[in-house]
Amino acid sequence: MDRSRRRVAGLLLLPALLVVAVVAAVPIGLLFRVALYPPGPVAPLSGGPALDSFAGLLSAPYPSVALRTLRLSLLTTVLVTVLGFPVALFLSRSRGLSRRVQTLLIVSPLLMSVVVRAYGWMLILGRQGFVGETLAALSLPRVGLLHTETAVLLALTESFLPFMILALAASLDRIDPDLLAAARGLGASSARAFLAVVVPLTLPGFIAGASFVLVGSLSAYAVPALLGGSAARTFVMEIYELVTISFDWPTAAAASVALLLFASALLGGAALLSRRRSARIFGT
Amino acid sequence: MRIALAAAAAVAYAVLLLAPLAVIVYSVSPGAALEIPPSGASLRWYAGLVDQPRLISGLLTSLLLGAVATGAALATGIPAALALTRGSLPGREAFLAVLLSPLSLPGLVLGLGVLTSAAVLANATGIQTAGTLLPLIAAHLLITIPWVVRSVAASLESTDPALEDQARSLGAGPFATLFLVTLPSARAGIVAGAVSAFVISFGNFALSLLLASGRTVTLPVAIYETVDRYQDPTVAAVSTLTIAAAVAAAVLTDRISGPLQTRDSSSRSGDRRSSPAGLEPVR
Repeated sequence: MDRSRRRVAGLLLLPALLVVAVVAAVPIGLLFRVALYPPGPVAPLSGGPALDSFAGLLSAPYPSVALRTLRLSLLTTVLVTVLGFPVALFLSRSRGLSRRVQTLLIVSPLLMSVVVRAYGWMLILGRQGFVGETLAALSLPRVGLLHTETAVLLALTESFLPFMILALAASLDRIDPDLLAAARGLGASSARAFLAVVVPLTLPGFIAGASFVLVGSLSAYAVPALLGGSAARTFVMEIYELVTISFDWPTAAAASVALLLFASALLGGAALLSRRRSARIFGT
Repeated sequence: MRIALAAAAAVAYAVLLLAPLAVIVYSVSPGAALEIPPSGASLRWYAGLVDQPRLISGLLTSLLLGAVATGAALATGIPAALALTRGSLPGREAFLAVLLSPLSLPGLVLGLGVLTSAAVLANATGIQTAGTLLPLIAAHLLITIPWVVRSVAASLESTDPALEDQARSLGAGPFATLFLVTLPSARAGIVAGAVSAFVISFGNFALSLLLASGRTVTLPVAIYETVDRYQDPTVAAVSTLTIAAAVAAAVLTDRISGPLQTRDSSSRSGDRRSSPAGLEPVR
């Protein structure tokens, strides 16, 4: 009985697993292979296998672009945490209609295309945009923030804020209110109880949220391309131009592989960290 | 303390509302130039949409792509969710992690991979998929399956399998039990999964960018190409339509499955069963 049940389950799982194999595993495997061809706009691909395409990533402009991308991702993660924590706390203490409306406010942006939201920021930040025109109407000098790193940071923060709020709120919702009451009953001040009970128990949510935001903002394309442009080139923008402008597929594939490995290392590290954390808290 | 929290939350919610609001306001502006303060309102850019074949064709492509991807994601995702929740499979959590993994892949990189695969396929077999919807459908299927699996599995986890055993003991066959008991009890999860899948496909940009060309350009890619070059409130008009659709989808999911994603206190005290690994936090 159990064996036939398992066989049916395996069959039911097969189509979905097949999609992952054909549309994710095979394409990524091919990228690893293409990355081993010598760099340059050659068609059809020949020669190699060699690591020249990876070595090319060590020369300009890639290191500085990679650093800028990393800096933007780290700053985005810090900003969404600082902005998101109070919201998550407020949300987890809200009930009924207020909670439903807030959830709608948080989830709706996730359902809008990232291009539409980036477009909104272009309209706000451009010299002829809402900020620029308002300044002009007040006879102040126009300031255009479009095509700056600040604009990219602002829009990245907005686009990843909902994820961090949801991740932190999921952790906060799981905290047993009795724990706080126990801490207070044992003589802790409310500030101390908060720092000693609530903050540590939010860490799993923070780790999950932060790793997702880090990887997501490293991989973002629409926001840096539309709001930063040539003033804030990121790693993924380089990959896109390697494919569409220089037709240098081996270097594009090598850069993709580098990004994938870095992202996997981040996610793997986060998973490890949260496992160790929960082991320490729950003593298992 | 409570007031400080409320103020911080209000600031964050305002930040989240700003960009969509800017698009909506610009879409009803009387002229192509943005005016502060606005001199009036007009719907002429919505009427002007009919003269924008790229945006219209993008809209139709995205609707078709979303519908096909959602259908295929339901057809593959619901069986997978059943297997994960009812199949007593060893390594259940590993399978779930594999199925959810496409969500953390960089979209543009995945698009490049799919594009490369299509080129290799064309070289090896002569089957040309470039310029057709096939690579886009495959790619969108990959990233919509996780939403269906997650939502349906969560729904199945919260229903009682004893109900199915009762149906079986009353003489219902496995298929009758599946279609009359199991699937109806997971209805909320199926609908929520379908809505999320469609919306995710409809709004996807990074993954589609390298795969869309000519007639297969999707709406987000068409919008991207248009705003990148010039200012035009027609783009704001079509964008506003997608914003309205997104809000409608959020309200719809909320109505079907109760408060979306975050759980209310009632479910916390009542339901102590742990959700399947990876179902939370929401990614």
